[in-house]
Amino acid sequence: MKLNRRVFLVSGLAIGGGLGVGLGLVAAHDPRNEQQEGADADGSLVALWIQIRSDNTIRVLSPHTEMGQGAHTGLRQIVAEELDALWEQVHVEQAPADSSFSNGAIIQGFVLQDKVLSGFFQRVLDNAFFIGSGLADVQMTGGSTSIRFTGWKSMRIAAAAARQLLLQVAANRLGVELEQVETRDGKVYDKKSSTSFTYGELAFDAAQLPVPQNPILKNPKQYRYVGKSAPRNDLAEKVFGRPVYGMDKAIEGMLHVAVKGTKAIFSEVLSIDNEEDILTRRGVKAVVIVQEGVAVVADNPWRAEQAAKAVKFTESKPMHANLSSSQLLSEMKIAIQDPNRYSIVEERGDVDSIQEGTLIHANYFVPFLAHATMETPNITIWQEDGVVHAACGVQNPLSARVYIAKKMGIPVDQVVFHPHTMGGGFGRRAGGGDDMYNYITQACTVFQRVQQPIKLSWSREMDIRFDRYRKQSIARYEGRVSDDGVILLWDVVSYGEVNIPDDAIPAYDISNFRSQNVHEETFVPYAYWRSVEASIHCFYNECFVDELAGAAKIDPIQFRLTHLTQDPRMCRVIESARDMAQWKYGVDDDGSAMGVAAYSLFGSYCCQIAKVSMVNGKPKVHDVWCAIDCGTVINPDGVIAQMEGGMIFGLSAALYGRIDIENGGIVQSNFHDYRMVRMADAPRLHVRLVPDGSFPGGVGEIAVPHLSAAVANAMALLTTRPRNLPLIG
Amino acid sequence: MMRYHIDTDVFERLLSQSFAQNEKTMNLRVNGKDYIIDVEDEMPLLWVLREELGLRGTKFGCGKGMCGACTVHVNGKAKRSCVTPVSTVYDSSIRTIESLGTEANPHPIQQKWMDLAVPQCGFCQSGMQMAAVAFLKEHQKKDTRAEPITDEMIRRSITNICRCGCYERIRTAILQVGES
Ligand code: FES
Ligand code: FES
Repeated sequence: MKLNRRVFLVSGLAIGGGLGVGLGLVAAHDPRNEQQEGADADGSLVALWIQIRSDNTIRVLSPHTEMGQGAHTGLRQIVAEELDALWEQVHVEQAPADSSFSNGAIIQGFVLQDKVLSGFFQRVLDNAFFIGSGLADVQMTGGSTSIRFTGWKSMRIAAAAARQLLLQVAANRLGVELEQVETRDGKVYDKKSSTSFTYGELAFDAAQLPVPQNPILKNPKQYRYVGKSAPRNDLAEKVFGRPVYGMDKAIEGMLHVAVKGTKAIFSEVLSIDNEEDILTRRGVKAVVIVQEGVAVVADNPWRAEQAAKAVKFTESKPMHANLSSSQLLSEMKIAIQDPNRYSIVEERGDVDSIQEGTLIHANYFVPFLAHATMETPNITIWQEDGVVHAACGVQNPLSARVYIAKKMGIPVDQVVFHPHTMGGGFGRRAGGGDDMYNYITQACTVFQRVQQPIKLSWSREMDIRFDRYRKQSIARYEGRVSDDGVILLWDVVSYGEVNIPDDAIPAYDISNFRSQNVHEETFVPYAYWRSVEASIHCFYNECFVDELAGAAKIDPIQFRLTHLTQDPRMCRVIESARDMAQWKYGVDDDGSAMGVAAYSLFGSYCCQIAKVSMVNGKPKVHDVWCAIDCGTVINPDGVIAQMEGGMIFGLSAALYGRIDIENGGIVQSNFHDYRMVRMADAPRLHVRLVPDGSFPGGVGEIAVPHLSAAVANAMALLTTRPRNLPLIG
Repeated sequence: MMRYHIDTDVFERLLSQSFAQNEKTMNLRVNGKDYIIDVEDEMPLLWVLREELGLRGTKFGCGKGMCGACTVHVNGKAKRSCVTPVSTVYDSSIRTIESLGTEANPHPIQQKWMDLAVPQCGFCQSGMQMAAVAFLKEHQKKDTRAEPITDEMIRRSITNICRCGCYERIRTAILQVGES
């Protein structure tokens, strides 16, 4: 495997001695950085990710943060594998939020050349730029990148290079040919004698050698860690309730901050009407006007919250204070009728002249969605040794650090950022999107005012009402299908940005195809939401293809397969799910029906089949069968866990997920009106891996989008076909 | 706010003193230890545990009794501590995740949770395990022939939210522990 020309392997002495291997990037090749003043003189960024220390331990510094996806365990498997190390020898640590561990460089170096991801990451980077000073400020966990790009494309190669250096040093010491030494269990052995060296013994000398740029990679047939389920390294601490999430951070003398938000989003508090009363409450220390609300500082979070609730204030009336999501919807409906506002996403064949076959029209709707991470947004800020410290769980620690410095008007090196494990991310903690760090902004204001250690934590109500949202969208479909079941025409206009055309365009062979979209900015703040645009377009496309199959009276699985002649991997997951589910098309004797959806995303292929009945007019999902091809599997049980979690996440959105806006503010506020799937409505889940050994695909997001379509397709057999989400109002 | 760990006999004396002086300090028994606290009657148990006693394994998820992230045991029964005023449990025995088990001696639920790799982000898991343990306790009657735990019973009884969607493994884990 060749490294991209901008990126090269580097090695050197790790801190405390030993060998460090990582990647460097010639930043000068990046036109963005050339425009940055004060770019490093040598124009390079270096991240020494793998460190082999003289005590024979191997330290992996992961730029990624944990939110339940098990990325650190996957990275540990990859490094242990490629280095021929012992499992216990390898330790993964969260890298500090420092530009030397930026992975923006890696994203730029590798990912931006990847067709599937380019749009998305361009956006990630662009969004990071407004807070940072360039690629060096991106330390991103998102877009299903940790295993694929950091792990497979970067650390694996760095580990292979390290192994090669160790072999070289051993051969030199023994005065033998390179072929005469081999690595095993964290040692280099002389094949002919019993002599061996630990990696630790060789590390210092290895750091003096030039690093091979195209190291030889291990033959997958010899893998002993990759492809085998490994226990997650954070499992025990999570079972014993020990992890310290951002919300659990405690600093001596810390005060607690609760916020009451404005009625309309992006509204400003003009005056506090009862500040005196609030200040007399037990434990209350200060009342501070912050962005979009009023913060109350108290000695206990409950006292702060109670006091915040009691605050009365007057707020400004922004332009959008009369707007509602239904009004936005009406505007969208007008917009997608106006060809002057369309732009083409993709077009093939001759869409306008097709007149044969059965004509099908369908209009679909998906609502705004919130992330509702189990741990609500929070941050702890204090001063120590003359610098500002911040503790917080985010998907992009470096950008948060830069953001805090900017908000406080201090240099970045005056901020120490402590990344914490997250109680869920799903895109909310990614730092891209519109003003993602709104809670950090509020905390900075309060900290500067009270000059004491503070922890700001949002109530669930603040979290739902001041989230950044998956966009509301609509689509208008027109299609034609011949009597013998061939799609003759597929013509769609959707509302909303299409950054990743591959996630919006169905994989089916369709000779006359057109996808157009209209996009106009609204005032509603946006953020990536687990599976990003596929969460919208999978619902549209996978419902519409089912409608076409229905019009042709053909089994929807058969119909899909006959239109996927160019896509064997998709066919394989469909067939696998079909066999697992013992697929039956039509209403079963017990009154249930199966629905299917198949989609690919971030390099993985997935098919899901849902068995659904109608109970009191509402869909009840009994079972879901899921077949996943994610290329090379690093940690099978980890993949299964991500499939299970992704399906439930997708099902919550399919059944209940809906954010409404009235008078410029969010209507929903907590789990009673922003409902989640619970045990009672969680279907039995059956996952099968059908890996194909190619480049690893992402697994954190791929399972999310399918169920909205699969359940709707089953419902279409049982009752009238739903075309709007959520499926239960 | 002051916080003391004290021996039971010492505590008896202190408690009677504090009554005698008519102070608002009250006793709270958590994980077998007694604590003297001085908070508003209506402060939810959750915040007393987390902030007054420093037991932060119990989590906040909604504050409205809807998600179960804050589940603890009050006299052996699962209770959502975010909507339990501390004054209602002054005479009760409270248990939190911190006393459920240790790595050397895990509760059977914790062992199963590890065997099946249940947690993802982990944030709901303290509450989830506390709910599971209380559920099992209620349904496992040692002496009589207990009715076997079924899928349906778990679906009815465990109403906690896991945003990461670990329900499949949670259900399997409870079933397996229930069987053994
Ligand atoms: S925090 Fe108590 S039930 Fe949600
Ligand atoms: S493990 Fe994340 S919410 Fe349950």
